[in-house]
Amino acid sequence: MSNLGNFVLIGLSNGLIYSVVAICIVLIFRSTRVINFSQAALAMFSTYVAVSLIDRGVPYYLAFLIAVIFGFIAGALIERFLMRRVESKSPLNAVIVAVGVLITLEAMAGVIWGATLRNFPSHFSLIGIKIGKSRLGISPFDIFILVVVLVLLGALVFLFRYTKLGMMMRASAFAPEVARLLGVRVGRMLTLGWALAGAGGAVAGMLAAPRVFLFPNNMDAVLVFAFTAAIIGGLDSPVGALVGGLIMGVSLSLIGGYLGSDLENPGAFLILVVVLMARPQGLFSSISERRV
Amino acid sequence: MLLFDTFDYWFEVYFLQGEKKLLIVEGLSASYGPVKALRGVTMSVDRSKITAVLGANGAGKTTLLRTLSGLVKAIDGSASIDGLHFENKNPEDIARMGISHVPEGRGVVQEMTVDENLRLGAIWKKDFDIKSKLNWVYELFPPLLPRSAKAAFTLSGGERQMLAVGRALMSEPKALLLDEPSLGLAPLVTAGIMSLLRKLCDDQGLAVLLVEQNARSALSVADEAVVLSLGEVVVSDKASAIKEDAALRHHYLGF
Repeated sequence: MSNLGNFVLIGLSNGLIYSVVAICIVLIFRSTRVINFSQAALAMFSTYVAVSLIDRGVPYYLAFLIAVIFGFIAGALIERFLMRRVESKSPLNAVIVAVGVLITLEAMAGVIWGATLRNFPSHFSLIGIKIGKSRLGISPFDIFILVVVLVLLGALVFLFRYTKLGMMMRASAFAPEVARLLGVRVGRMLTLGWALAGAGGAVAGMLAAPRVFLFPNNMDAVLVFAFTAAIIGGLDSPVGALVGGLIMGVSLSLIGGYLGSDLENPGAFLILVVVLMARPQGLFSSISERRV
Repeated sequence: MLLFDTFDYWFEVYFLQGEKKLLIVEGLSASYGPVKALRGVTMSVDRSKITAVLGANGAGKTTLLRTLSGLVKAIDGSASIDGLHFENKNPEDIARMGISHVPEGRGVVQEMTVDENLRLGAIWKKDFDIKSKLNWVYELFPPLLPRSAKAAFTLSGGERQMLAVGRALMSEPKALLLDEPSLGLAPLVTAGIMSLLRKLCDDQGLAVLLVEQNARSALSVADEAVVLSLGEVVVSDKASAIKEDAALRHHYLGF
């Protein structure tokens, strides 16, 4: 298998993780117009919860599930008790509170689990699958990532397209005042949105940890890439976030592979600038349609 | 004698008016910051009647509707529907008490389809036959049916207004609050919607509170009318009586 093929495969696998975080950012941005910077810290914290359970002998899948539930509850609590208070104020307040949550959670993780880099036990092999004589760039763990992300996306699509609850959440995001006039409890929908984003973040954290290792800031870089992916996608389109994540994953993998991994971060910003210059509303935004 | 007077009063409230009056508003006040937009509004809306709220720009018409539906918090006074008070409740609870508010500018959810918009109208209802209600609304507004799978932003102004009214009717409300339904619509479309509302009032006992800038057309469809000026009720009477009072019309309604 050629280098190019491998770089693309690795990029897609990383990109799926960026996509999950990007979709969580979009989920919250759509309903509250707030960029949730605490997404990264919540993901990291949930992963730590899982790893300390695994250390105590809890099976991997159960720990994964508990981490997701932890992310769900933590997301809901952050919305209900912190973000709700700044909701009616200027958007900057909400962003600053989100950054505050990010710093607090990272500091707390350092206090509880130590700030040193630690290995995350991967349930699957990270070594590439062998086909014939050559090794592919993708490992069983990458296949696990793909399956988990597909299940997550399927669940979200089902929720938003085919359930009453999803319809109420969409209405609350698009037109909160109208939704309230129709008897939708918009406040609860917001809490649920943050809870889902917290759960999605936990999934991303669990999937990213074997590769980026686990330390209190381990998801910061992922957040930056996912944020870029979300902006590329238009910030209010889940499909855009998914595609943006994959674009980021592949581009960064190619940049890292051919030009050196030092250039990954500047590369991310370069992509962001180029996309915003060509299409300022992002690739998939419906905002221009909505202003008609 | 005082005892008898009070008795008479309560007898009237409970046994005579209680059946006819659906919405009772007493001394309702609301403000935007330091600006008082409603100053002690007292009025009532009868079942099966269309009550028009008239007045110049800034008279408080829209604020009255927004306060009744809970979007603006009342600072004083009371409001009740079927004897149940709701002046301090949230919009979502007020909607569930049977008050449907169609806001100005046709508050449809643009990104969602016509069908989804209609379903939203009754989404909080449990054990509710939403299918037959949907069919009923499509029968009331036939132009919506071929567009049911289209996003609401593709509709024309008239179709959006039909969608907004149809959606408000999905939950079988007792009272319908309409804010400027004729704004930007062809007179024929408005007339169609109005005659339909009249029929619903007669057949199902629906009460309509209609805010209109265009006083002439509102008075031609309404049974009762309330004229607001600077947040206060100046006249409250039969629509026909207000129509004939030339001095009042000149002074407050400009025609």
